[in-house]
Amino acid sequence: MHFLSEFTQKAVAEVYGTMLGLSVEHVRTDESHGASSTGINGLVSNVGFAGRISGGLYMNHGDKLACDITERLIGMRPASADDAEVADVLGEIANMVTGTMKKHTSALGYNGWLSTPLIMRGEQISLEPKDATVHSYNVFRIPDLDAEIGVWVFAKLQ
Amino acid sequence: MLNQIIEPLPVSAEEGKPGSLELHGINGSVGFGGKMTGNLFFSTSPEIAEKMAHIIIGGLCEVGPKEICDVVGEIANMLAGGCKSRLCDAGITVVMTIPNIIRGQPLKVSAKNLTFLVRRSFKVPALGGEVDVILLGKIE
Repeated sequence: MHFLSEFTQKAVAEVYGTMLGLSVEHVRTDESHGASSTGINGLVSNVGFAGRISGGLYMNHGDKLACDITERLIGMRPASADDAEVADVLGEIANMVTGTMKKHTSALGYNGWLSTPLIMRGEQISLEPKDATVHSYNVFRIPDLDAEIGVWVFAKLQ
Repeated sequence: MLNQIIEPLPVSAEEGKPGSLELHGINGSVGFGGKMTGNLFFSTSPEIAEKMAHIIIGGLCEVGPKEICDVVGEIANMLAGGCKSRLCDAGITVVMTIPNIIRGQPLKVSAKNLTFLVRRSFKVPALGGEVDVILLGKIE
């Protein structure tokens, strides 16, 4: 397993545990190029990183999970997954997961700067990295919320 | 690169209002980190992207999804490189991520804590369509 997959797993578990008080179970990892990065529905949050490690992290949450997490964090259930609060929460989670992953890569000498979090919504979204040498797709399960999260990391190491 | 005449279109209503924007069906995205954080999008329809790929690749090989992805990513990368150079000239040093291609229809993007959004639309008469270049972010 590539160290970026391992760091992603650590980062997701750490952020969901400390920020949301939720335990996550790692379900599977796929490091093949193009791994399940098509036909994505719901909300996709993204934070890019640039420097000795360059690429991006993408997290996919379904509408119900996005609302559940937002409610858990701000104490009020949003009317829909399109609410601005949901985007704010998902952006913050992606930012923290990417920041935590970067902390681990920095220890190996792969430093980088983070871009601002973006939230994308659409149907049949596909992610196709150009020039990425590392493709990592990780699926996590949140037992307490009976839901899954997909996390992609595409990166080039210099 | 494409040897095409482009016509700038009137400034979009989204200009200067960071928050959310709608993109076309295929988008090249490059992130920025450093003194300015943000993203550049090169956004167009899949049909226009395919026509562009045909022009750039010519008859060298078949144009499929991978070639279209390469062309859209390369255009986004070149545009971001131009921005990076001009930002650097202005004392705003940035580093760029590798390009990523995002498809989706419709595709809506929102972001928090941005201080600017610049969207420029161009008509490409020879291709019968439009392309958009969007730069959004914040300067530290």
